[in-house]
Amino acid sequence: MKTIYKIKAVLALAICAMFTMPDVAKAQITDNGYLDVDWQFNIPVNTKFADKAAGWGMAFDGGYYITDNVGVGAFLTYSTNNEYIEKQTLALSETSALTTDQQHSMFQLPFGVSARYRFIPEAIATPYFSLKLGAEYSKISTYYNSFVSTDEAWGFYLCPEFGTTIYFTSSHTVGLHMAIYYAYATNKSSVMVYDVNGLNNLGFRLGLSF
Amino acid sequence: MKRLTTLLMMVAVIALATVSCQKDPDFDELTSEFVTYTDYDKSVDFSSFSTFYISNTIKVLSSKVGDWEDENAQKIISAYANNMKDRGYIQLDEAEKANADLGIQLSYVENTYYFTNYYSPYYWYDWWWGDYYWPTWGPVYPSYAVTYSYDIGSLLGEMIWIDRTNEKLKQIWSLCVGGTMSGSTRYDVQNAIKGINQAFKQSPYIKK
Repeated sequence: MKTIYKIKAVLALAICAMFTMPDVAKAQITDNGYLDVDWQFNIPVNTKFADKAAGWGMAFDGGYYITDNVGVGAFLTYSTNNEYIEKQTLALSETSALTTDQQHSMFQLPFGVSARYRFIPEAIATPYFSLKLGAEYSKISTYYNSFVSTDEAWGFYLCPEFGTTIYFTSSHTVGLHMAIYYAYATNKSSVMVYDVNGLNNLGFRLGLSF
Repeated sequence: MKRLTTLLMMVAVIALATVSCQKDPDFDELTSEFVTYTDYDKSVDFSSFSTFYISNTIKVLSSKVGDWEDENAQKIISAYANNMKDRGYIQLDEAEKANADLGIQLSYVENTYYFTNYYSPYYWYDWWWGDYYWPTWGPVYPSYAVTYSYDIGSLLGEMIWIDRTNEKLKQIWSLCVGGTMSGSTRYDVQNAIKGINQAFKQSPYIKK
């Protein structure tokens, strides 16, 4: 519930910025700057831990167009995926066993640099392809009764993304931003009997572009 | 100035969104059943034992050792004993405990604390060593690493092999049934019994 409030707060701030600071936004366009603020829906693929798709995430990608088509910048995204695991007996070692149900949780927070190529700079709808490179912090946790086992990891992050911004006005002050992405991170983690070796994700981002 | 304002706005938006941004799972979805953990010494042939003695009190471990021996304690002890009898072992009473192959002690931990690889459960001295049956054999020890995470409401059970040949007391099976207490003694006792039954279910090697 807290996250919902946070998403609403961010969107409210973004909308306020859109209506109360048109000059600033205009200045960004004049300076070839851009900022995408998105809600993120993330689908872990074959991670074998908290594989359930969820919309508990956001993405921020800002930068500067060094030519009409090519932009470079920085990004930060985060997402959480949770999955309930029915009661089962786990062989923790050759001799030990544990019986419990669990809640698995995987939190990912990648950040780094991004580059994009937009195909039709002057159009109302400007599709683009971008590549994000950076580091990813991840934390996987399993909750059982009043206990929790957690492992944190860092890894290299790579994310190709295809998206478009549909501007509300011809001045490109603010627009609707949509993107689909694939992301891979080299993070390795282990909790209980679960080993995660690399994180594959698919998803989409939906928000505003300034 | 406008650029600085824009930058500060961006930083504020991002900072607001990323603070405590991890979404907790729905803990209400978890059952209230206790977690059941077991471990054993794989070098031991459990079918080689015939008799066992189980203490008629549950040791309560907090700042000092106490005894829990009311009706609820007896239900939990009986659940353990019945599982042992179902597996083919013969229960000996107080007067015969000196002849038992296996000694069993249940204990209940009230507080949260952690330790690993312990080799001498001190409360064993209270009823076992206190009787001076085997005063010179040395401490109880397991041949496998024991790691417990004690939380509020943890029921522990140690099965000790009374090795008369080598004059050793050897821990060969341990269980830990733990979790958040409900506040209802009746429900918690039922939950503990369910945990003991589960401990035996996941330990098929305990069989005469």
